[in-house]
Amino acid sequence: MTYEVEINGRTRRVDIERSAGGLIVVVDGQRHAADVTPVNGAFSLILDHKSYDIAVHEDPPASGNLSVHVNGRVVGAAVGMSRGAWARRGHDGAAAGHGPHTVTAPMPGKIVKVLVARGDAVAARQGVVVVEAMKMENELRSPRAGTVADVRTSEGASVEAGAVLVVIE
Amino acid sequence: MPARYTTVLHKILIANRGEIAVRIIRACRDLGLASVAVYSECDRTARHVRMADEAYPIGPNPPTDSYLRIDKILDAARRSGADAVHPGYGFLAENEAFAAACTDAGLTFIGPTAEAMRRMGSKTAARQAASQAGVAVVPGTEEPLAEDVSEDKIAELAGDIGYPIMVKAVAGGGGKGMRVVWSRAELSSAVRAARSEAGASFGDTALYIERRLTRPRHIEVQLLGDTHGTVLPFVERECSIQRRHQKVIEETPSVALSPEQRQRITAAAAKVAASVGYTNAGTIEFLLDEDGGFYFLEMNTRLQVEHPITELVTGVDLVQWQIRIAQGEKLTLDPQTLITPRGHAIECRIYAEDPDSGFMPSPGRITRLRLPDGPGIRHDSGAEAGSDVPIFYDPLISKLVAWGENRAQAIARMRRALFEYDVVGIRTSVPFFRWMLAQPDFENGHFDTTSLDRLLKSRQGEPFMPPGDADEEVATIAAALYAGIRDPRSGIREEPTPSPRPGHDSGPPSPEPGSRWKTRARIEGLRT
Repeated sequence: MTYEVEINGRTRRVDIERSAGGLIVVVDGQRHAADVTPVNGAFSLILDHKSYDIAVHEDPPASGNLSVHVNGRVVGAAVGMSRGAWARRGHDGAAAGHGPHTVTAPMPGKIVKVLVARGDAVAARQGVVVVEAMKMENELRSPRAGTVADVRTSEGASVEAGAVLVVIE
Repeated sequence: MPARYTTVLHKILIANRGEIAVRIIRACRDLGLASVAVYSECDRTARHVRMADEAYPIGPNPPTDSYLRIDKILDAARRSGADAVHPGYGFLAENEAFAAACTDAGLTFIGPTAEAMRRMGSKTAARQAASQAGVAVVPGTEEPLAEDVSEDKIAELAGDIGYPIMVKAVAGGGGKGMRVVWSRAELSSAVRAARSEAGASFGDTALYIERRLTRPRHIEVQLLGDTHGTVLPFVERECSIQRRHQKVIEETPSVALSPEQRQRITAAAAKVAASVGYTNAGTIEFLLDEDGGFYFLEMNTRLQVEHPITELVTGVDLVQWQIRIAQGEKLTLDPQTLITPRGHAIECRIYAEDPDSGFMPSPGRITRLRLPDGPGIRHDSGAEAGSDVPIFYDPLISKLVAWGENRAQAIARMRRALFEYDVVGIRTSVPFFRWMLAQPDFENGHFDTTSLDRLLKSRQGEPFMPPGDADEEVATIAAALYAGIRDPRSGIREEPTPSPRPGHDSGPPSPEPGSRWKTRARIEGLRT
């Protein structure tokens, strides 16, 4: 099985194979022996005999948009099946990691400023909307580099938690 | 000989939530007392509610409808038959009307008298009390500025004090209603802004002016006073690591004080508190100037957030003593040991905030929690895996405290604990602390109350502790494995179950990730 993983703007193919001794993971031509065992809602990963405590938070669910905790350090990642694998299964959409990303309101609040317009190019972590909540003004940032596909709010609007404000492609 | 009490308490209502409610419930249990929790709607399943012996709902989520409702809290106290109320910190802890209402209802208020709270809660009255006790105050106005005082008069007072000055709310706290003024030109607008902020935050527009020390350190002295006239000071805490006037890291003892200065500052604090007949726990805050002089800043008439570091270096349980003092018990602690720290302690305030997005609050559900533990670590928390951090309250989720034989060991243990600490589901300030504890200026003790804000400004939002290449490599593989595990068609979990092993041990089990996945995954579930 082959997956594509994007971290920090770089997309890599990861092949996972089963072997007699466990799993073999191939990244960039490098083979790694992997033992992955679930524990307490997370998993223990032993990779070439190095031990990692891994927890994954997927938000929104089934989006492929992940926070991967590696020994307590958080790495943002997007994962999807490789296009080849999807095509073989008869899917025609892009892999989850390559779909549009959204900037959502983390809590109920008021939109103070919209900093981008449709068609704007944005860098990863660039501020796109300023929202006032819990009596503080907070800048919401783009999760990745891309183009603003849609702006679904306006200045002065009240928004609920989870409302999609900006779509980045 | 058994202690003689003037009041014997049996059941204590805790008018608070979160980690401090949990802390107080533990003290009750240690003393063999029953505890009563109160809760708003969203806190129905909160840890403090489940830990307490009894629990009473007090209304909807906004604090003004629940944790700030004196009538509902007193009603819960009456219904539960509690004989005392502990206010914790925040909410009603420094509300003299609440203290008085408890007393009027026949309840013991675990804190100072309403009278002492009123006097020391007013910044200008507290400054007068300090001056009268012979303790230096930061030069400034002794009386609040009247609402109708002319701009020229304010300018004259400011000129006498000398710029830069601070314009501050008399009822202030937490950095609100506070402005720095560098010159006459900025004065009028700063006074207007501070007045409106003070009115909105505290319902009191009274202001005063004091000189702004350029690079002060924040040093504070914990005190306990009993009802028999004894006031005892504890070794100082240093709380100079502040972001926007909010404490972030506290430690004890301070690296900046000599034993002679410690002797002087603790004696000064005790003198101010004794002069107003202060009882129960309180803290006097000072600013330590670059020349070594110290000035009274204000008094906090309650238990402080950062009290655990004092407990770790003195061995004294401050919350138990608050309760014992409220029972009328005499302080039997040895004064000398209280100002002689054993080792060093540091506290990090862990907030549900994303340090990489300008410390924006990050409420939500904690899906997994890996907690630090081990030698020298204390963790006071109100959060759990599966619990929500609501948007309605202060986003403090826990206090991580490290003790060491010396400062270097305390820092090393704190750093180790910060890397053990993993919160999944929401963002926390843990990455900020991992970065902060590695800063040379922190390790060397070279900082003042303005250092962190300057440091943060210079970083311009650069991420704290960005993952390294090695982490990204592992995360890449982990993300793919996670996706494979979630997808039943990937084959990763579909290896045929191996033939059953005979029931005897023959060395370590061979690696069979597939079969282990099947069995364990069925039991535990994989969803995070």
